[in-house]
Amino acid sequence: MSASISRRHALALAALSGAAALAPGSAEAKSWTIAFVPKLIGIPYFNAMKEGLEKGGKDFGATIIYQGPTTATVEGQAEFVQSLINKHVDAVGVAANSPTALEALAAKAAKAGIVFYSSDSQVDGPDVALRVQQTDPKQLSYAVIDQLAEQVGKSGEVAFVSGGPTATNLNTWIGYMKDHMAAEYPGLKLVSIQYAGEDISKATTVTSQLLSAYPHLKGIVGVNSTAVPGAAQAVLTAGLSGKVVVTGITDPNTIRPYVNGGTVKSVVLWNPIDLAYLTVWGVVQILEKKPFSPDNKVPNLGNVKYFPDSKTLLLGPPMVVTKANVSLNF
Amino acid sequence: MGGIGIDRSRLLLLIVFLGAALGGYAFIDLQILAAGNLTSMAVFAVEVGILALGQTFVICGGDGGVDLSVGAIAALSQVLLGLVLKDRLAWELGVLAALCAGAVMGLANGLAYAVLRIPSIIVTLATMFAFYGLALVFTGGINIDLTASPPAFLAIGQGSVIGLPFQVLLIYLPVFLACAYLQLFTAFGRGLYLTGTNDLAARLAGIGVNRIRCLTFVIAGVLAALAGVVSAARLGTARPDASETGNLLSIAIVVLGGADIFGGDGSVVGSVLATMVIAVVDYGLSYNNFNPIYQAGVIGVILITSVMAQNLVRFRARQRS
Repeated sequence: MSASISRRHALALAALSGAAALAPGSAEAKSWTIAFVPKLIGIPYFNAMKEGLEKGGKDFGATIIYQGPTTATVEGQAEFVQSLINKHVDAVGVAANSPTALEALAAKAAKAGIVFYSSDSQVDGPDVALRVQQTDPKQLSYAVIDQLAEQVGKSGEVAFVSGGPTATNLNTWIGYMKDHMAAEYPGLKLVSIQYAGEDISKATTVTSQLLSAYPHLKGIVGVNSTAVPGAAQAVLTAGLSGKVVVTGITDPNTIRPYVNGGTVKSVVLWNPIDLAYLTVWGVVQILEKKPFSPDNKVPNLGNVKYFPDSKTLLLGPPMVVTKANVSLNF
Repeated sequence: MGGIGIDRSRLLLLIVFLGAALGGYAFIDLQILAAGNLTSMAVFAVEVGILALGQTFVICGGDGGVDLSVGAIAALSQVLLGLVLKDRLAWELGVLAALCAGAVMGLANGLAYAVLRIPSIIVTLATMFAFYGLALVFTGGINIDLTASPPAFLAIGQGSVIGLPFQVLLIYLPVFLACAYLQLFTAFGRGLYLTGTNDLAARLAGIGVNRIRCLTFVIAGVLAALAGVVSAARLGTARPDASETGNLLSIAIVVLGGADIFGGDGSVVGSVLATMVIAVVDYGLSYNNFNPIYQAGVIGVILITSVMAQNLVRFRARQRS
């Protein structure tokens, strides 16, 4: 008898909590469901973002869905975003493989009452509720070129190895890097830009080809997280450690052996765990209808700037990774 | 078995697969049968489905014919379309240019095969790189923004007609019917079947074997361009790296649809069913939050299982007789 009562009790409770989850106004007990579709899954950089998302989810009361394509294609991303919209998550966001190709889906999400955001690599258009930017792309690109010039010297041939030839953020950085080189270090000559996708071994192959094609090459910039270790490996294999400078934008985990071995002196990055953590914070603010101010106090991150014109939260200035701090885990 | 080149047992198998996949997903979450999910599946199926229709003709033509460049043709065509739209010319002109470009690219494949006598797998492997390369050169590696294009153009990929996605009802369906008619009711279709099964017999019967095979590449080219147009309209962007998975996935679909990779047997009906199977399985996996790393593997398993099941059925049938 008592068993059946408590069972009925449990059912009633379940029904109640179900009703609470369905009722749109009951924000108090609600845990938000926030989905994120990275450029691709299974590489250290986005694994770190996943870690940050989950950390943010725990701290700010959100369930995280992390789903994405296995190759960096926008078609794959579109499929995941569409299925997440159909699932009626509270918010869905991307690290976009193309700035414009997801605009239509952003509009669809907005129409369905779902918050659409982008983080790491942005989506254009008015239906994007929030953009979370790692660092000012100009500052980041300039910092990389400053590191390069510091190690190469005033003149010499240099080359870039990038990821996908259509990746928005990578092409933006390349543009700023070229500008900064032309303005501040006219002695540095960019002889080639190669694209190796998000693939370390391809970056190694491409760099080996560069090294034989340009025997006077003095420096290589890896523009994405897989290009730097790939380039470093090629330089190491060719026995050119210390003779050809390798720097660029990548994470400590990926580059650690090359920094400790001396092939790479420094790389530049932001912290992707913090970036993802900030993303969850920002999305939850929007879901809870709390407006941003130009300067925001974010738990564990400190002061974070918000730019209302572009609806952008900016994580902060870039971080230079050297032997001193390469033990950071991401 | 069946009509010319149509294998009824395979079609039945595909329908069983389709039912099992939908039923299985519905068991996990009934919501998958909601209209929104079904139309999403259809939308994602259209582009690779059109590629697969063209691929069907090439593979049925025999002599190990495959077209590895269909995705690249789709990409280069949509880039040309993008360039026309960027210059603010009429969008109809852009679509026409894309389709013509697709025909020319297909013809290049066909001529290299028929006149230069290079195996089609080599020809189209080479042109795949060439077409993607050209697309990158034309765009400088940058996506062309088409989101501000005329709404009539964007409707091709985003609009809906009587509640169904525009491209499903007004592009895929008519194209499928035209392809089915071409394969089943025309001299070309019968000639293609004979060419694929026994090209010596076809030659002796006075069929222009090379001309027919060349034509299959042109058809594949035009259809690939059409897929490129739909994709550009759907995503509001022309991308030089579009449809990269389409090159191989279209071949997998045609084989799953019951086509003999050595020519002859195979039908556009089978390819359509196989497209639906792949689309449902793929969408359901992401909808139910399965690890995407396994998705490619699942498609491989389906392919192998279907071929093995077929062989088993044939083996039994032979034993009985």
